[in-house]
Amino acid sequence: MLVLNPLIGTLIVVLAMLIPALIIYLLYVSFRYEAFSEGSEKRKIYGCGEEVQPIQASVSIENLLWIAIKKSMKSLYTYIREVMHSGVMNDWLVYMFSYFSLLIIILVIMVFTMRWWA
Amino acid sequence: MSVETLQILVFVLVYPGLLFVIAASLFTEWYFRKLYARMQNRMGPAYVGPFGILQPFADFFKLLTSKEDITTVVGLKKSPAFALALGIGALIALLLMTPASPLGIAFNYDIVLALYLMLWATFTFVLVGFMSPNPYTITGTSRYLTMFLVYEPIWVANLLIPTILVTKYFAKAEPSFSLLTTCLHSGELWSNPLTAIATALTFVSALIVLQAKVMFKPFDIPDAEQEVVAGPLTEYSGPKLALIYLLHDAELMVLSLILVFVFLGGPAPFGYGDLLGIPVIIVKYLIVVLVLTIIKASTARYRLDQALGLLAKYSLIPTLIALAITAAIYLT
Repeated sequence: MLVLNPLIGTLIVVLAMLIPALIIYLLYVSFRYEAFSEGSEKRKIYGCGEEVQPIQASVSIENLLWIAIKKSMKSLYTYIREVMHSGVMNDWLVYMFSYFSLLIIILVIMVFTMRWWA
Repeated sequence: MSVETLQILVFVLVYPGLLFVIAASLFTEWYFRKLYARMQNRMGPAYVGPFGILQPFADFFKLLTSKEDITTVVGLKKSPAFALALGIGALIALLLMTPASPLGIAFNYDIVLALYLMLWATFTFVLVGFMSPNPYTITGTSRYLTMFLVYEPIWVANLLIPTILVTKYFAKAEPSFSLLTTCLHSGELWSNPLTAIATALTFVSALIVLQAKVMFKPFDIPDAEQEVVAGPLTEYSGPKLALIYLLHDAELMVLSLILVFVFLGGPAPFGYGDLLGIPVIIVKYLIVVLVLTIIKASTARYRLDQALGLLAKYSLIPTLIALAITAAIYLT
């Protein structure tokens, strides 16, 4: 067992991650080849046989996370949507204030629990 | 260059580093493909090498060296390969912190770094999905991200429970809250009824989460081929696809090995210095992969909400019970 101090240990482990990563990447770069020209059919995006425009191919990251919340916590999603999309500024302020208060409460509980354990 | 630096380099590049991870991952792929095929009354890999054992090597090198690297108009060209290389590198670095490595890097609270490396490997699939947008890719990545948000905290809790128990019961075992220390003492957790219950519950939970992490049935929702082609991997081909398969196999291999070390006591009943311990570790590893393959072969794909329910029922609840037992042990 090689017992190190956390800083040196972390540095060695990160280097142990980067060196093989670099070798794999260099292998990839040396072996890859492209046999098509720009604008080739191969580079177009298709969905169910229909060409998809680049603008339609992506969705924003915010929407991705909303899908995650919508699917896993449906009631919470519905509640947040109704509160946040009421169009009333005060509703939004109340929501944001409660959300940040909740985060601060969780943080305070965590800090005190850790200090109590220590 | 000092002898110690040279030793570390050999460990990083040969064993348990790059060469070992590539060889062991591709062997694991052959093993589960062969088992999966036999369970479905098929032959499985049979042509390259004895019993088809070299088929995954042939597939990997064919994709890496002979196939064209096609990138769509909106996809990133080289960044996905770099992300994938970092994911594989993270798993190699993780192995250096386990008893699989003769070096065995350890320090206080290194479990945080180990969890970070495991997270990196899993999150690479999300990054790869984002880097080549397509309606199927986005849908698959969204599904993967949804499952990821549910199973990752459970996975973290599952690994923290034995770490906390080892730190509590083997206070003299240094360094504390370390992955390596946990692996070295995990076999002894089975000798106390209370810690044995907590370890058994977390092992079952971790096995189910691992099934979801490597996208085996019934959790292959992100790459459900009849619905979203190949999910996050739809637009990838050639060398990038080779690296994606290698990362997937490496994740399966390294995390199964971690399960053997952290929950099944590694070489127990033999010690780490005993030569007989090596075949015991290999047998336990093959059994873990066999169980994952049996679950894969005997279940059908669930819908996303059903899968999340399944994870909550059979993975989150055992973990919470084990966490309560661990908290009670730690505070008394």
